[in-house]
This record gives sequence, C-alpha cells and structure tokens, in this order.
Amino acid sequence: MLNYFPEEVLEHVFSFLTSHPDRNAASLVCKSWYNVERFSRVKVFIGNCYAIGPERLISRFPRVRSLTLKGKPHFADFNLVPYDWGGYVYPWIEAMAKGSTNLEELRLKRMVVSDESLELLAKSFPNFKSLVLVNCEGFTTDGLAAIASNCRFLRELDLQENEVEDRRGQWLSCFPDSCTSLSSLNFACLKGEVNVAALERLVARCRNLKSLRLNHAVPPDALQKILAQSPQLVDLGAGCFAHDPESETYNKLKNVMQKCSSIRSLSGFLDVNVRCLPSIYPICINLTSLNLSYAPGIYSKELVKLIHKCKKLQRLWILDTIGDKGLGVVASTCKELQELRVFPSDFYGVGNVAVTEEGLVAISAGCPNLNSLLYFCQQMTNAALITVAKNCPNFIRFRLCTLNPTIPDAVTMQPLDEGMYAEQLEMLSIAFAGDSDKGMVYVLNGCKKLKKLEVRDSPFGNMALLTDTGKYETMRSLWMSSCGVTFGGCKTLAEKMPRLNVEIINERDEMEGRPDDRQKVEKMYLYRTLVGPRKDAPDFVLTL
Amino acid sequence: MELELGLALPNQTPMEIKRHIKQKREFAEALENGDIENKKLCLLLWSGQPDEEDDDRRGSQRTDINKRINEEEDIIVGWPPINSVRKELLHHHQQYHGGNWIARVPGRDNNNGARNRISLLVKVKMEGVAIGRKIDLRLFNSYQALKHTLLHMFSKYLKIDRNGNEYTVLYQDKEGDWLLAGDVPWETFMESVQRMEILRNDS
Repeated sequence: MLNYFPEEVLEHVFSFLTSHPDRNAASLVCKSWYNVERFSRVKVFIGNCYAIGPERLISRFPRVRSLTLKGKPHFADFNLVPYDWGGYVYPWIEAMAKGSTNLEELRLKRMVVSDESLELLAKSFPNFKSLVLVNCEGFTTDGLAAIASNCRFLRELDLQENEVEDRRGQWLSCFPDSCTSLSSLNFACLKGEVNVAALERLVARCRNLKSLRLNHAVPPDALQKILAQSPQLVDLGAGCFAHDPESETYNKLKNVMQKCSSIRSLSGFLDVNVRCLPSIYPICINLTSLNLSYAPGIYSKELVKLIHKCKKLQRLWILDTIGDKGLGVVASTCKELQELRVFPSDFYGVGNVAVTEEGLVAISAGCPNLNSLLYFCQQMTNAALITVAKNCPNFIRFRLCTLNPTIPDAVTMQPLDEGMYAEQLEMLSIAFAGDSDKGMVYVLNGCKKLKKLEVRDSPFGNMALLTDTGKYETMRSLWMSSCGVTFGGCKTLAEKMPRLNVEIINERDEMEGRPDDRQKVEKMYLYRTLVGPRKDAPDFVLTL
Repeated sequence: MELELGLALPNQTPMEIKRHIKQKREFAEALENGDIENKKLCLLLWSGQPDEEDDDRRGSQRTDINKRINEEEDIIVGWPPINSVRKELLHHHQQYHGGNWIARVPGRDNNNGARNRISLLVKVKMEGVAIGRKIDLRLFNSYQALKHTLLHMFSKYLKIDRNGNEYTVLYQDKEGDWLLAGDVPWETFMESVQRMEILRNDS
C-alpha cells in the first residue's frame, strides 16, 4: 500500500468520480484525500440551501464551476408553504461574485430569484454558460433580458414551470447578434409574447440548438419557419399548435416536420387543434419522450392514434383522459417504456373519464422496464399493486395518488414492501394516512436511506416525532403539517438536537407571544444544518 | 438512485363536502403483536368533512386532525397534489369543453402581473341542492368560465341543461346586497363577492 501518492495522480483519479455521493465518500477517507478532493470539485449539489452558507461553500470548494441549489420544501408546489418563507438565491450569487468564483452553471429549484440576482449573475461571471430554473419565482422578463444581454457564452437557458412576471419588454431581442452558442432554450412557462422575428433570427444563427421549447404566445406560422431553420432539433416544445388545417402554413409545417428526423422528445401543445396532429405522425416513430400532460385539448381518441405510432417511447407524461383502454394501447405499443406519469384532468368532479388500477396493471404487464411512476387514479387495490410490483421489479420512483373516496379496499404498504424496495426509499410523502404514532415510527425505522419525509393531515404526534431524534441528522428534512405534534414536542426536539433547525410556520396571527406547549403546531419544517437558525426567516417563522 | 414513494389517501376534491366516514382498516390487528417491524402499515381512509348544513360531527370516529376544519375553512389546501400551473390550465380548458377548437390559454387575459397566490374561496349554493360547495374564484377570469364550471359541479345533483340558460347566477357583495353576476366588470366582481347562489329562472 502506497503511503505516498502524488496529489496530481489522486486528482486525476478523482476526475472520474462524477457523482456527489462518490465524491463525498472520497473526501471522508483521510485529510489528504479531503484536500485533493475539495480543490478538484467542480460541481456541487446542495439539497437544502439552508444546510450550509455560501461562504463556507466557497472556502471549501474554491474551484466550483457548477452549483445546484434547492430551496423550499416540496409541499410548496401545492401551496402549503407561505409565499415569503425563504429560499433566496441572492446571497449565494453575491458571495460567489465577491469570491471571484468562475461560475459557469447554476441550477435552482424552488428558490426565490430576483431580477437583481439575475443581473448580478449576468455581470459577475464572464464564462457563465447554463441557467436552469425549476419551480422558481420572484423574477421578471427584465431579469431574463439581463442574462440574454450579458452572458456572451450562454449555452443553456432552461425555464421550467416558474412564475415569471411579464414586463412586456423584449428580452428575447436582447440576445446580441454575436450570440451563436445556444444549445438549449426553454421558455414554455412564460406567459407573454416574444419578438418572433428576433426568435427566428436567433434560431437561425445558433447552429448547435438542440432543445427548443416555445410558449403558447409564439404564433403557429412562426413554428414552421423556426423548424425550417433548425432541422437538427432533438427536443421540441410546441406551444401553440392550433393551425387551420386548410391553410398554406399548415401545409408548410407538414413538409418541414418530415425533415425533423432528429426529434426524440416532444412536449407542449398547450393550444391545439387536433386536426393538425397528423403532421407529427412522421416523427413519432423516433420519439423516446412525449409529454402531453399540458394538452387537455387532445382527447383519448387522438391520444391513442398518436401513441400507436410511438413504438420507441421510454418516457410518457399524459392526462388521465387517456383512460384505462388508452393505457392498454400504451402497454401493447410502448414496450420500452421506463417512465409513466398520469396526471388528473378533472378534480372538480365534473367529468367521466379517468384511470383505475386496471390501466396500471395493463401497463405493468406490457412494459416490464417501467421504473418510474406517477399515477393519479380514481381507485386502487392491494391486489393490483402486488401484481404491478411482480411485473415490474425495477422501480426507483413510485408515486400513487387516489382521488376518489369510495375505493373498495384500503391500501396497505405490504405490496410495496414485497416488490418495491422500501429499504431503498429516499423520499416519502404521506397524506391523510395512518392511525397512530406507530405508523410514522415504522417508517422512520424501516426506511434506512430515507432523506426526505413529508407528512400532512395524519395523526402522528410527539411520540412519533421524538422516538428517534438522531435519525433526523441522517435526513435532509422533515415536514409535518396538520398532524398531532405540539409546540412542546417541537421545543423538546430542538433542545435535544442543536444541529437541527426546527421551524414553526404560522401564517395566521394566532399566537400572541409564545404559544402554549400543548398547542398543536400547524406546520413544522425541520432540517439539519451547519449554520444554525437562518437570518432571513420572516415573522411568521419561528425557529426553536 | 432515488426512490420516491408517495402514498396518498383517497379524498374528496377540495370543493366536495361529503360526509362519508369510512371504516378504519384493522390497523390495530395488524400490530397486535406490538411489533413495529410488522410490515403492514395501513392507511386510514379519511374523507369526512362537515356538511355545511349540519354541525353534527360524529365525534367518536373523528380524530384530532379534523379539528382544523371549521365553518369558514372546510377545504383542503393543496389537494390534489398537483401544481398551480396544471390547475390553472385545466380550469381554462374547461371553458371550451367540447366546443370551439381554439382553447383559451392561461395568461392571455390576466393582468400579466405576478400570479396572485391567495385563493378567493366563496361558498356557492344551488337552488334545490342541499349541499353547498366552495370554489376558488382566483382560478377564473370570466363569468362564462365560472358559470360553466359551477353548472358542471352541480350537475351531479340535479339534471342541468348544459347551456345553463335556465339558471341565474347571483352574488352577494360586501354591503350584503344580492346582485346579478355579470353586470359589473370581472375585476369589480372579484373585489366585492362574498358568496354566490344559483337560481332557476322559473322559480
């Protein structure tokens, strides 16, 4: 065994370690490895932006070029987290600007991003290449204009499901003529119009453009012009697909589409005339990814016709308007399917079509490679789940949501244990479940790799919370809302575990002064941290 | 590799207020041995919500989690668990259910300011229907869409002519007066509406 191993060699070896867990493990071996690793780490992933501070990040990893940050708890997606809770990116950008970090990539999820942050970002990092914002908010199209104007080597601008205020500026026109480096542009979530002529010119000069997702405001005739300029596209998001099938424009579109033989991924169709769908039939055979979950305008019949042609599909996101029969078609056509997401189309209870356990069982029988599932359905049974688990042994992601209260039998965790690697579980969501504290204790004990647990409206109380407090330092976070934990229970936990932030979130001004220990806590969010209570917490958040 | 598991319970849509109280699964028997390692974790079917007309809560079968449901807020926030982009898209689409092929798209008619995150929940009663409903007006931007959705919601209880020509939608404003929905601009309506009622024209 060599005692002396030149650092350059170690560094070279580490360059092959790309995953964060591997890198983290290597850094724990010994001091020497820790040091070599930290100076060679280029990509950093921070799952909770409050677990560590930006200054510590920079001092440990001075050569970081790519940063991924996640902010708000997952339940923020469903309006359970108040607007001003936190998750601001500005301090991170400011610290990196001051520290002269050579930032090239920034990926943010559920964070608050202000225009000032984007402006600072655009002006501070001359080699900045890639900005990916997912479920973020707080910025306007002015911020995007700053990015477009200043990031000379921008390759990727990917905006997924953000809340962006439209300032009716011309942000897209701000890409200078010298910008030819874009390979990915996704602005599907923007509400406002863009300068179409500028868009067409931009697409024409970015010969490496592989991924383009348009918003609904790009008019139909622009689509065919854009596609004519970029037949090399691999990923297309068509916003508005509502042509007049008799028109010359539609004719042109059909011709152009046939030349787009590189397209592997299709999404969008926010606005659609189903009579125009045949124009995409020629590319269906090549598709590996299809997302029609934002296209309520495509009903079951057309969906099925389309899917029938997509024999190579690996990923499919659709609405439950497809129905069980439609899922049967998927099962017999898409033999290589790995990921399926079926979203609800009607939750006011006004419609008829939905999917049940039948559709899922059919899929599992026809698509043995299925490993990732999100399934909203009207009903589910134990037997069905056991069958699914037996048919598809490779699940890494499994989410099931039943919408109808009249399901015939209760669902237990048993089938999932039998088939689905509960011990590998990293994230678990529990809603309206359980009978007593034992349920939560069972989960905390049994799921050894649990990282995130979120619970709502379930009768778990202080006993469950306090049974294994050490567990929480092995997890990223725990969310509990409308459960049975009390203020006193949370205080006890906070006192016992100083390296956790235990936040009590109370939106309504119910408490005057300190609440009673016996009072139930409406929302609690706890997470491990190295930097103590955060200084940017709003009034309605109390960190114990 | 990341394994996410989300088991969600059947529950009514936020707007529904049924009073079904389902049998609890025999969780107790599953844990009779007191063995926490027992792999059967049973999920309680809970969908009980108070009927607006009836304060009688069958206390013995209710757990504490019902306490937060009171007269004013018998609604489930954030259920079903889909994001607001999807919810809004589907609401806008329902305006043209089965009709015109140009579906309306979210954002075109809104003031393009930041999306208002605070929901505006109002109670709606329909003549001839015992159970009132609640609806989030922030998800709409026109009377037509609102009326269309309301009629669909209530069509479970009554046979409703889908055109809705036989129904009048009224609302009560801040001063307590009952007014015809549609008379004032939508924004004005949104600022003053407190509750709504749907009446048959021949009553």
